[in-house]
Amino acid sequence: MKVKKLFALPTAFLSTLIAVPIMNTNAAPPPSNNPQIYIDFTVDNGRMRGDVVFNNVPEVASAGFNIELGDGLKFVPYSGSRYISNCHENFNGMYYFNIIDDQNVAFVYASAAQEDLNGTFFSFYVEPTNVSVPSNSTGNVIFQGLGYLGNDHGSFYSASGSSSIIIETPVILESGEFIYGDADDNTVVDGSDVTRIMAAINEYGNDIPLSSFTENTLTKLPTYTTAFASDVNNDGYIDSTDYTAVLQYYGLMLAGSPYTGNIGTVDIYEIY
Amino acid sequence: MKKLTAFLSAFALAVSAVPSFSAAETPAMGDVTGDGQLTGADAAEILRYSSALLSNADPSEECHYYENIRLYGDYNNDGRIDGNDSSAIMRDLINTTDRSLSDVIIEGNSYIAAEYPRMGDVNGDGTVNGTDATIVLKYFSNLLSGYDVSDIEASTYILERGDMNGDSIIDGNDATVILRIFVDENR
Repeated sequence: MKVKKLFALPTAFLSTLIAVPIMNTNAAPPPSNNPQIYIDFTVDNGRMRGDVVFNNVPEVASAGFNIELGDGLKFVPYSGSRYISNCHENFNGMYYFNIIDDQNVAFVYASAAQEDLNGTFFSFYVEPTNVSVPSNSTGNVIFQGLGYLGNDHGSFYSASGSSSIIIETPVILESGEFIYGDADDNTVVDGSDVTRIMAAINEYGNDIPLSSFTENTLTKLPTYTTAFASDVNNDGYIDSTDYTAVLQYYGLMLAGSPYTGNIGTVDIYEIY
Repeated sequence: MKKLTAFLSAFALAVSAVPSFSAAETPAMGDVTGDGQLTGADAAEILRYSSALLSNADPSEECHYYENIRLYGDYNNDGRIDGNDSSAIMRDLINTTDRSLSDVIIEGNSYIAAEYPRMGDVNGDGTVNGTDATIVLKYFSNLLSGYDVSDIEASTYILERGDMNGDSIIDGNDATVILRIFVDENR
């Protein structure tokens, strides 16, 4: 297998980063009691990581699924020739992680015993396909089947409806990086972002709920990137609390004072 | 009576000339590698087959024991050949032998490494390590110096597995990649 070169992250993003802790957005897939397998994107030490998450899945001994990315992202090695990391503590078996192409992989896994694999099953890393023009992208798990070892030598549960458990695989309709506070999406957090947020609230006529936000409806915040960047306190609303926080941050930056909040850091939004 | 005896003798001779298949020569269910025993290699080969199917690849090209997999791969007799068969083989190996799960996995991984060599394994020993990097460097050095490299090409897999970065040149950069792989995998 040939090792592909890693592309560098856009340096413009790095200019306003203070710290890049591991963060997840609050746009998680809707809660469900049904078995689910989905991807959760996050930022991990400046790299975009996708976690394949099992939720409410029964104990299994084998698994198989495809992972598809949209054109805006591509799979990259985690380290050397390895593509997966952060494996579940019960990940104790043989596996194949086949790179079909930059946006498609196939994964199969088999172990000797049924294990509880709920939580992060494993993680992989991705990068924008066009480094100079990062774009939003999608991520999807195409579930093939899970297996368990029973007295009848095993049965398969699948999403095809042919068995008693249906696995849901919520699709990320869109995902993308944003910088908290960077409301005008110019990679810098400053006074212009404060006025941008204020103008957007005036344009909307009230505090802006993220839950009902759609792109290209507000001229001041035209994209998901700008909207999520404006909700700096992650409460689901773009309001005076947010532009006040950005103003305070900007003041601290001008004064050279320390700041320990999330403004200026990178996160990922996910729309399911 | 003589005719009967002669006939029986001739018949016995004819039958003995026909090759017979004993139970031992027909692989047991699950023994897709056909080595006469159930091992982690069989589990790994079946899993490779499953992986090929999911990848929309042609399993007959991806799996060296494709025909045996089709005949003997449904170890759990559920009508499908998939990861569940690999799991069942692994489970039975652990329960019926003194091998641990780790032993079975190592068995499978070693088999895959030997049966399906990796890029970077230029000496064909199943591992990617400093020895492979040294061979690449020696090859590159000889090329630069105008020395004959046919010996290295004939005795190793340098041409098939040495171009690690895909630039169609085998040089120090490829040795670096090999070393990085070795370091990462042995942390």
